[in-house]
Amino acid sequence: MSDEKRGLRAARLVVIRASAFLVVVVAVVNAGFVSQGDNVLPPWYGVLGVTAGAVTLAVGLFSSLLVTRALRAGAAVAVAMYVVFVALFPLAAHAGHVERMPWPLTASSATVAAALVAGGVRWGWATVLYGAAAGVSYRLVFGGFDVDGVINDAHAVLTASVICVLGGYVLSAGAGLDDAAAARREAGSREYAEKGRLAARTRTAALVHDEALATLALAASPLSVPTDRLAAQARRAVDMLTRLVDDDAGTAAPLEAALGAEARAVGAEYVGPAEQAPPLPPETREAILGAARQALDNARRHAPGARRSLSVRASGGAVEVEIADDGPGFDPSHIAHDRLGVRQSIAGRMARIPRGAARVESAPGEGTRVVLSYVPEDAVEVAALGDRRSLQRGTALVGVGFVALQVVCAIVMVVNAPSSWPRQLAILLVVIVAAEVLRRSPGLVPTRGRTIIVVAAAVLGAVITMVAAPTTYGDLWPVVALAFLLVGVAVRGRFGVALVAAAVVVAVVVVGGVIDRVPVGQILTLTTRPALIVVMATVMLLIVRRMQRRIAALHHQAVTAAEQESWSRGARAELRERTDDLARTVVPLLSRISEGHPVSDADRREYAALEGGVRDGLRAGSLSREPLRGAVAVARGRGVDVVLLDDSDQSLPEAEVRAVAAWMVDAVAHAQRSVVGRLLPPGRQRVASITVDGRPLLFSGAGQGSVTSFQGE
Amino acid sequence: MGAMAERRVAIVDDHELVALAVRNLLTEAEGLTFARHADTVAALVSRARDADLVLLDLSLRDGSTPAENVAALRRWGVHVLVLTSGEDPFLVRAASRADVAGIVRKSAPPTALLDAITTAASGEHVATTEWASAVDADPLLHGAPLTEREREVLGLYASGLGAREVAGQLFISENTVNDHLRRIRAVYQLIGRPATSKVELYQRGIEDGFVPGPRRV
Repeated sequence: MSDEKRGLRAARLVVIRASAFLVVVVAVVNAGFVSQGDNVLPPWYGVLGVTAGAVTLAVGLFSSLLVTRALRAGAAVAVAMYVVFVALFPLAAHAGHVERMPWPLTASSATVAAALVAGGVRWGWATVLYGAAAGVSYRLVFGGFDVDGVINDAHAVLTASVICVLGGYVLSAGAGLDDAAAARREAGSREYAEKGRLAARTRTAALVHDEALATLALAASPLSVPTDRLAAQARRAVDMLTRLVDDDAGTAAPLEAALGAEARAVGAEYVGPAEQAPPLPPETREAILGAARQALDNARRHAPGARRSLSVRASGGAVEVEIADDGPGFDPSHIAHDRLGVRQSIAGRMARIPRGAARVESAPGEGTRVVLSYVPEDAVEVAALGDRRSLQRGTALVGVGFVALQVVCAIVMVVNAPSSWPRQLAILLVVIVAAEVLRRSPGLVPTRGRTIIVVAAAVLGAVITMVAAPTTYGDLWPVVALAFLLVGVAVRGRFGVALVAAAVVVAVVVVGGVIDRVPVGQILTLTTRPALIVVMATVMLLIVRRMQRRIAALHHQAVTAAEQESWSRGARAELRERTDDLARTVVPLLSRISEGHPVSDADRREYAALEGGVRDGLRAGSLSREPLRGAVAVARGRGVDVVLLDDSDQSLPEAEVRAVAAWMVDAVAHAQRSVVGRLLPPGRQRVASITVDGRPLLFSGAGQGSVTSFQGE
Repeated sequence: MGAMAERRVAIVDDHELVALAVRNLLTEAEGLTFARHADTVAALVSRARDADLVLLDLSLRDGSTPAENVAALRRWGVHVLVLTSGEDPFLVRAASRADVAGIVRKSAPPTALLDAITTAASGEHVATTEWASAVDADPLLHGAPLTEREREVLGLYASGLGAREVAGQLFISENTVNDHLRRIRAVYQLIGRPATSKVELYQRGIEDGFVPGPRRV
């Protein structure tokens, strides 16, 4: 399967295996049940049921070998067979002899899990409802609409619902993982591309700098080179430099500059964003520009003479462009369908780009506002939040259903045995109070106190029920009901506690059953559900937790990559600034050289001064500042060879650098032939030195900028 | 030097004009003749060796690195003097770690340029401020086996002094200063050998006789 959906695939494997496991459980329990029924069903119906289970089991067992399409198809076949199996029951019952509806018909959990894999959460819930509806209608028609039957069905629906919610949670976590991975990949590739662009840019810029420097050095040098050749060389340098600047303008011209140009072209006022707009994918950029152009054009045609404006807002990667006029306005609901302007050129354009939108606000006499918006994708966060929200919604739904079904159970029991009403009422209250204690837990993980209350309710409720009530499925409804609360405990992160409590509840039922000499099959049915739901919930939640950790890690990496990218982009912007600077200062002189006039000594010195200045841009670092820059330019103009070097690690305090520069200004002013000014590497005794005509001086402190000779005071 | 045979100087630079300027400079120089100009090192070494010294532009447009270029030229059997227009310290360091005679700025005064060419053509080390400051500021040098005195000489040289001035400052002979500079250059080129850890560097220093101790030269 393709790499992109690895997370979702892993989640599907988990859910389909859970489905297979549930089939096995149903088969085992049903085998334990065989003694109970007096049903005689035709053999073909039994074969159909076994086949349905076998298909589910096979798909689960071989899931890792199947490609995703086959996996989903297999799951769909299993679901379809269950649906057919349930639907054909009346036919089978008609042919055979049925005293009560067999319970596996409503044990839809396994099918719900398969449905989740085949078609997602909707299929899952549809299966839950189908199972529930079948249970109610068949029991009414074929018998078994008694206490045990109704309560069994209620718990079957609850179990299936829990499986549906948890399975859906696992699937959404898997999809979230894919989204996070995709976002990570995208951020990584953007970062990589930006780094590549920066590297290419840096290299080109270095070559162009080199070209300009070499030309100026030649022009300044007293070495004889033919003037026409020098002029050709200068033309080449100018050409390269302007091309570099133009390329920069082309590749990185921000959206706002383009929008500003559009606005000015039709005489609209332009209001730029406070924050720089992010770089956009080319098609998005084109769509925004095109829609804005169309909106401006509409304003010009329909609101002639009105005040028009275009404003850009940017924040956190999102961009909003508003084109407004104070013209006559119109009623947007009356735009004819064939009015191409608004419908196609504006709204359509924006709708075609992902996460783009356009809205038109206007009313007769109130001007018109067209707002174009684009929100960048941040799939990671959406996915992570979506997970939890779906779980919360599902849990709330199951919680409400849980309480309602327990109320139904209690009423059914009271109707069945009116004298037991105080017991039923008391236990119902315990169930509801415990559920409420859990629901009102302020954090995700319940406090120790709340956990103890819920666990105590589940365990003691089981003990009391076992002692007080006869050991039938219906009478023991509170045991299963309270076990569902343990699922809540597990969902909220206390896996260990929930598992241990479930084990204790199972033990209580087993001991009670053995003491009451209840058949093994019945003990099995009584204990399976409590144990099963807690174990399944724990396993699924642990899997989700692992996926979420991975999502968090990917998210973190995506953020880091994005930071790297913006750093690269920042570095590129700085580079562009330097190139622009260079073009501004160097191009006029290079153009003069390219005219090929004879070079005078004064010209040479001017070229030398400029060449030195450009060189300083590369090597003088924080020494490249006024007033030193001016003093050095003057010295170079006198023919002094000046070299400024910044070998510091840029950690010197600003005040000290300023003092050093001021100190160097004095020294440079007296130079005759050569000057080397240098900020020393970190860890030296002094921070700066300057050598004037072979006479070295050390900077001795920011105090009064006094000078010290190397030979000491 | 006048007694010696003529030294042939070639140049690799993608600006033909620079080659022209160098050619003009060499016509006035004694004992030096201009051999050839090539745009790339590959183009130069594709023919039989016809030079003793090559002036190599630090940033060539063909994407080659200083280290590769110097290595190719040394294999060809010539001394290498690097010419730079700017002084990007990283490039200068990369060149300094390679086996070059020295590094000279194109915008240096013609006399200084000619001196450097003459010195390099005879296989001697050409120490310049650009070279010394790039090396002196290289953090890698912290682990290099240099004596205090050598570091002192390098620091002074990097500050823009010539050998004579450094000698005057330290009350030693100019020859001794040049000895120090040669050794610094050799040690720094050691750093340029691939796969050097500090320990390995030190071991190599012992083998090559560069470790601090009795003066070798």
